[in-house]
Amino acid sequence: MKISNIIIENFRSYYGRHEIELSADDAKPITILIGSNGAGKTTLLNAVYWAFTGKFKGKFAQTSGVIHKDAHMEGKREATVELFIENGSEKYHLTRIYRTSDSSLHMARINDHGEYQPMSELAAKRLIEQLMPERLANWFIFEGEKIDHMELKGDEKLKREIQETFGFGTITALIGHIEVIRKNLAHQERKAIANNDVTELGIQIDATEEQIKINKATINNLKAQLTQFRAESAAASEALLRFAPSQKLQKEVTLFKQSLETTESKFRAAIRERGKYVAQNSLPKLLEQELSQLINKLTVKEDEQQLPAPFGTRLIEEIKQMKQCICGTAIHPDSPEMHRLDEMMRKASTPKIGAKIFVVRARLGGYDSTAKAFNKELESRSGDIGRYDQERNHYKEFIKAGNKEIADINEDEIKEWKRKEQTADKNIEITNRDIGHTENKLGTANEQLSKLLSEYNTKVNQATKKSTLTKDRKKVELVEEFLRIRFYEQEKEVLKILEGEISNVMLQRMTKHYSATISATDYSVKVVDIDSRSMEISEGEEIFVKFATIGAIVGMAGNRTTVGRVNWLTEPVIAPLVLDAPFSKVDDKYRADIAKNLADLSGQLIMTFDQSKLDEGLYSVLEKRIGKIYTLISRAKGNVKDSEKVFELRGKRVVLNEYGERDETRIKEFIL
Amino acid sequence: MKDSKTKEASAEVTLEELVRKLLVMVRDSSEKREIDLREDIAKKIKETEISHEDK
Repeated sequence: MKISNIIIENFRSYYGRHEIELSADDAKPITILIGSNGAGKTTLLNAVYWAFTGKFKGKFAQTSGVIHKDAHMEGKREATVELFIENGSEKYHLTRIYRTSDSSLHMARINDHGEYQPMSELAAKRLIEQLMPERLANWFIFEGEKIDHMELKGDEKLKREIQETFGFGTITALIGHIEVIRKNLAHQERKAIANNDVTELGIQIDATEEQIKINKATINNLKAQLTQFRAESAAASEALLRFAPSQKLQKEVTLFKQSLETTESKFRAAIRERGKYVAQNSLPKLLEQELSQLINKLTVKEDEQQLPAPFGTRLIEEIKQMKQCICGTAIHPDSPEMHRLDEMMRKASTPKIGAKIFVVRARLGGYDSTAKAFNKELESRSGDIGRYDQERNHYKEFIKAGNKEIADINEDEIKEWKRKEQTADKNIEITNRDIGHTENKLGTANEQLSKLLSEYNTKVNQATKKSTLTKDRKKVELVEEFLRIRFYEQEKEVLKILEGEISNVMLQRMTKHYSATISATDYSVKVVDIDSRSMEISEGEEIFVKFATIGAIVGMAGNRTTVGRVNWLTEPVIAPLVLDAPFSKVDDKYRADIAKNLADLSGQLIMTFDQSKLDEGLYSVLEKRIGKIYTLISRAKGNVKDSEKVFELRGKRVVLNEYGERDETRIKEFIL
Repeated sequence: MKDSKTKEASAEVTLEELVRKLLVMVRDSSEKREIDLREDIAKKIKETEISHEDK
């Protein structure tokens, strides 16, 4: 989606009607608006935000001055914002009118002949929900000052917004609906079959599914808490690094804490895996004795099925016909030798039984090997667990000693931060343990569910011969399973490309060899060095990474990324990026790189700048991609004052402040 | 006979195609009652012939 024109009338500082034609050209996607402080840059951003959402942001939430004060004095009771929108080949005209008593939204489709076809309010809202959903408007229309609020260390809100941008919300909603449909069909099926076993299994399946849902929700909640505790601990660690007496010690403690967390996670995983191994293999171990006996019996049986060398069925047939053995001995009918030959032929004529015996014996042989290896395997797994346990205790001791030394420093502020850090660390430990327990429970419940489902299907198949209900339920189940797998793959694919895209920008534009990794659980973005070690980065570098993340997300949604394209299940939200004073918090050395990256990745980029920020350096980087530049002239009521605010570029000069009959903003195109 | 078979085969859709259609239904349903939407989804799944290689 692109915005081709904005019309603003009597809206806050804009008196009368003003039109801005935005550059919607793929080759030149940038429109720049230059103005001094208070000239109406943020007002314009808010006008676009309001046009889409019907809501005002931040300080603009105060609605007393929405209608320009002079226009109001002249009896005007409306302020209007109009947007001309292009979405692929479709064109729309969106109008939002503010009145003191109410506001209204009007939308029309513009057909190929330029005629306006009004849409119902419902259809308009539905369309806006697709083009610029309210919950994502902050993502596409934002003030550079607010970049600090973006949290890369695993923020639930950011994760949700990324998912929404990529259309994952629609996928999870569909999974939810299909799940309900499948359950309803299963209930009807049970009712129709009226079989006690099936009903009982159905109840157990429902209960297990409920248990799985609860466990998943618990894990999500615990993970959200963990993020909070981690942030608290990191803030305290950072504070302690600022005090000279605790600096060196705190550095060591922080390093040991990182190692401890890695070992703790390996320790928990090893315990989980050992539990799984015991559950899967303890039965063969218990039956080890019986298995050996059974295998021996089967071997004997198998041998009996075979003819002793050199006999074959053809040779025996010939001996019987010729009544003479190959050694020359005569064999008479009804003699013990002839009976022996008949017996041999009878056993050898049942090759299918022989093959079955062979398969069963081989399978039991497999269980027997598992049983024999059980002790050794268990010992090795327990050994790993022991080593991880020892290692984590080791780290714990170092941390404890370091913490004690820091706590002994006689400075109240240090003591207070240390106390805060330790409380947060204790909470991290408890939460991690709880997550581990819940994950174990979830694993067991999942195994239980798959057993119950297989049992259920067997019983249903026995009780009914392919009823329509069963057929429908199985079909819904198939769609649900496919969708879940496809969603999992899509998320993995998206995160991999996102990671690659951010890393690409970092590798190209940062002086250090840093790249990014993204956690599949909380979407946190971590910076790692060339040896994949997690790095602490400066504030300037962090802002760079944040912009690289924004660029990568917007670029991915618009399929403009360089590292790969996603095969989207649902259309992602592709909207213009409207950035107010985007680089107010950015180091000068990164400004041009960030701007270039955003320009390359977004389909349309609208940026407002203070007159001093668009200098030759930034302009020359963006020059080829800039379609339009406008200056916002701030006119004040009263006599001319001496102080001039000037925007100058390549010898062209525009005075940004004027004096006249009223306070207002005027828009002028800046052409070089 | 051959023609009718071809026609039948072309009416079949893959799971991916079906899922994409269902997602469009969900996306365009902001003002629909949940119960009606579910009914539509269930109907669509039941009516759709899923192509054999996907089963």
